Amino acid sequence: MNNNTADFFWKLRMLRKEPLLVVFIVILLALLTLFVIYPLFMIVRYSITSDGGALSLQTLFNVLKNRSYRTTFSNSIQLGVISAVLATIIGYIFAFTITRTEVPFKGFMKTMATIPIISPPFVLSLSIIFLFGRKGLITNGLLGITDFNVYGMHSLILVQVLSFFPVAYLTLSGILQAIDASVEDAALNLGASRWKIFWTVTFPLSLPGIFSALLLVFIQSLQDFSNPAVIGGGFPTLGVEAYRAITGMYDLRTGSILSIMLLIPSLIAFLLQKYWVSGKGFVTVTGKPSQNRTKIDEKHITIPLFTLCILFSAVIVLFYGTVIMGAFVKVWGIDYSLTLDHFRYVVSIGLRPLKNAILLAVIATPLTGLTGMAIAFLTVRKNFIGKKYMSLASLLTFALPGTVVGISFILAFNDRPFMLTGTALILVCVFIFRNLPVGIEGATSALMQIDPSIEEASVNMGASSFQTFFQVTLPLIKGAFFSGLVYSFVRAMTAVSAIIFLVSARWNVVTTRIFSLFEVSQYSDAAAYIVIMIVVILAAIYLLNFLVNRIAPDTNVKARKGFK
Amino acid sequence: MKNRIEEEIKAKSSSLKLIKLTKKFPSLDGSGEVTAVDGIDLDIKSGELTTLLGPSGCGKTTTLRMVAGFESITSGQLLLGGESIESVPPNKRDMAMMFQSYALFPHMTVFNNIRYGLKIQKLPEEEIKRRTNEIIELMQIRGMENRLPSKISGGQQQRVALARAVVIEPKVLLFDEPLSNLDAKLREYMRDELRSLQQRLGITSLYVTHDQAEAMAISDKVVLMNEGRIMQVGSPWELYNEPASMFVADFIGKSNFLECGICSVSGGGADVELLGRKFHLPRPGKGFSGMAPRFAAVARPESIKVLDSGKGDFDGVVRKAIFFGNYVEYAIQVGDRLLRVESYFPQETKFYKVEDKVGVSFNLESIRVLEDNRPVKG
Repeated sequence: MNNNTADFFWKLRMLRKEPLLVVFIVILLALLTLFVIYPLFMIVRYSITSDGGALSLQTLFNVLKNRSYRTTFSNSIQLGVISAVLATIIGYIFAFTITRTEVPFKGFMKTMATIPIISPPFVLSLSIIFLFGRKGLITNGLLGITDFNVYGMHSLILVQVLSFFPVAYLTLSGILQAIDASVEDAALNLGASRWKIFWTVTFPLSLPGIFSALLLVFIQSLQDFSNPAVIGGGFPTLGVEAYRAITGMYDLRTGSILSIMLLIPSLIAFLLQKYWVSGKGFVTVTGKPSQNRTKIDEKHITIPLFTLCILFSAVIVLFYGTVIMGAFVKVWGIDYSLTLDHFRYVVSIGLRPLKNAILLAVIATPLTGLTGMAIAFLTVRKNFIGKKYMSLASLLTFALPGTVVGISFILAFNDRPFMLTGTALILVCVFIFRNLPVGIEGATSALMQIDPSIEEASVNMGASSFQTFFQVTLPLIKGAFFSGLVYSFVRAMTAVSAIIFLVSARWNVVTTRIFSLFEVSQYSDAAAYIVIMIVVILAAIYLLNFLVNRIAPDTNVKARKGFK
Repeated sequence: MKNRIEEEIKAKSSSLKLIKLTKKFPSLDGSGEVTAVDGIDLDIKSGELTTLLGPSGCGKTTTLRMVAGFESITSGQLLLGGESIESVPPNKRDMAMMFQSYALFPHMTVFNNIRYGLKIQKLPEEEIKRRTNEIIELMQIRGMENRLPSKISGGQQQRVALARAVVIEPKVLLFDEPLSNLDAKLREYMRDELRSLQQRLGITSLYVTHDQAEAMAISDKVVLMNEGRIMQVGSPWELYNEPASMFVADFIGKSNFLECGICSVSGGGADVELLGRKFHLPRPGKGFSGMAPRFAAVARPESIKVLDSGKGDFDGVVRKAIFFGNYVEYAIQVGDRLLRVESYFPQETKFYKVEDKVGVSFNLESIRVLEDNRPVKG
């Protein structure tokens, strides 16, 4: 037996001394298999079988032969590529301006570059209709144009760039901050101009980040359902077509195949990002606080960058402002007098979908947060059979388009032994497993920065793995835990693509209700719903922040005695 | 007056035995194995402080981590008070460790750090309180209980880490280079304090360091390791005065190695030829058996005397002279050899300068003879 495996078995034996931990690992692995791998297997199997269950590629061929579906595929890819490139450029401008130059209003710019991430869906699409639609404030109200077609690819690109440039911004500002300041200062010291430094030092060093950002936005664009569904118009995309095939034509098999066509490029982009680009980084994080970098303050550089960022931020303000305004005016485009009618309407048709969404998100959020932390802790610090499987399965959910998840859950959980469709449980499961990855990634990088000897000290004092996790590790990665919680709450509240297949009459949620208001063109009522959602989300973030800071972990030993 | 906790700690202290302890790691390129610790035997008596000393990469830290249970044991046995503990998980080994970085929990106050292990054991609140308070008295860290570790000085952190370790009354206390993060002055002070505390508590300790002065200062027994093996075990006195090999003589203190021809061995003494002259060495040392192909004489820098020219056994020229206050360090060329010499009490003798011609004599009592295992020069 080679020593590697001997060491491995020793660690297994040590693990056996903590049966609770083993049980916990087994449960996690089983759940990941049931809610990530099994549905995926089901959707693939369903796509290549006939109704009788025999292997048949008939539907697959039909879809591939169908010209309009081929166009749909290339539409999705085209949209993804264009959005990715534009969003990355804008994200880079924001990241560079904020990390490298001396300009005012950085806080404002940072906020503008985060809002779209925590925003409810449909906001930007709704805005673009309010602004550029048939009765649009700009097209009709200001310019007097009546036949401008707001629906289609051009609007989608604008809306997706606005929605997803924050992803690029966050990736790139991380990379730009991590580049050792002295490298650029050295180039400056050697006599290079700012322009020269940018192209010979900064830009090449940030290339891995640029590729990462491109791929991440590409994935987001592909997976986007809500925007193409409401403003795609005559520009069909895969997610929307899969939805229409299933809800309009009751053709689950075609829907499955279309969603798999969506899955493949998304998965490829994810794998490229994960294993190729991330391995190419030049940046090494030393953990030492980097010295202050000299910020660029030459006016001919800062003024154009500043102007671009402010203009773009202004567009975001305009879009969000429009929706808020839309919720308070009588009839958009005709009567701009203020009213609360839309809110009254929303209350009258019932706040149940909103209550449902909040309830489900409240149940799912702590479960997602803790599961994410636990998986990160186990995969970083522990050794066990199935560890690779655990990290892969949990991160895979990031690459799965919501459409795929929704359809595969229908296929996997519509029958015995796992009959879950129509219940609240299936929605909670979707939220948990779809929102795991960011929590895991955050916790993993936070864990990497904690000296393992701090945890060893706890074990050495006699603490079990559980005690160590709850009393030492978790408090130390509180920050990552908090952002994981916020993220999973927001994602749960704002989810559309996966749950649109899974909601039922009893368990309807606010986003699907907004979607149906779109379908009957009740835009101002949708706006009212969205404003309420924004208030709920902001309140939830505030509350979570408060709660996480309140937990004083070391005084709580007694409450956790159950863990031994 | 003694604390109750001191008695309790003394009573819990236990012996530790390592039998053929071995650790193999997969080599970095994955092709084979690297033996980090190679069959170490060690017997640590209850209440004794044993130091694992050696250059970096010699396996001392790996040995300590195997004892603590943080590394798997490839083969061999570990006996704690006679009981085998190889398969006991690290949190049930009843040992406490002081980490190089102290590993204080940054989010807990000093008080909560110290009582952490007691809370884990779920002791009655009364006892936790008593023991924590007694250890705080003992360590003289009263007054900072409510501060966070980041708000106290390095020396205080050190005391808190020690308090946290001993308050659980471990059977064995492990130290992983606990002083290496302190500046030189504080290090010496803490070293002495650590030693006196260890003796007062009579707690069995295994201490890892690469600093030989530290090892000499605190140990009952020093284990000198190199490349995963034990080179020599003994008291600091034995290691310095009776080195078993050239490695030991070189690592502990400073040494001049001189080629040494053996003429005859008689009654514990040896007649040898050094630098072309014959001498009688009354105590060639325990490392000397007279049974090796080649021999080297070990002359410590302080056992060579510098005299006026013509007055010594050899004539030489000063090539380097550095005044350190309490002694002068010379490099003196004798023939084609450079001898390293430390001359103490420079105020009472003479301070020779570079290029001065001098005489050199050996203090024959303290010269030892060892097997010469250096490669033969071309």
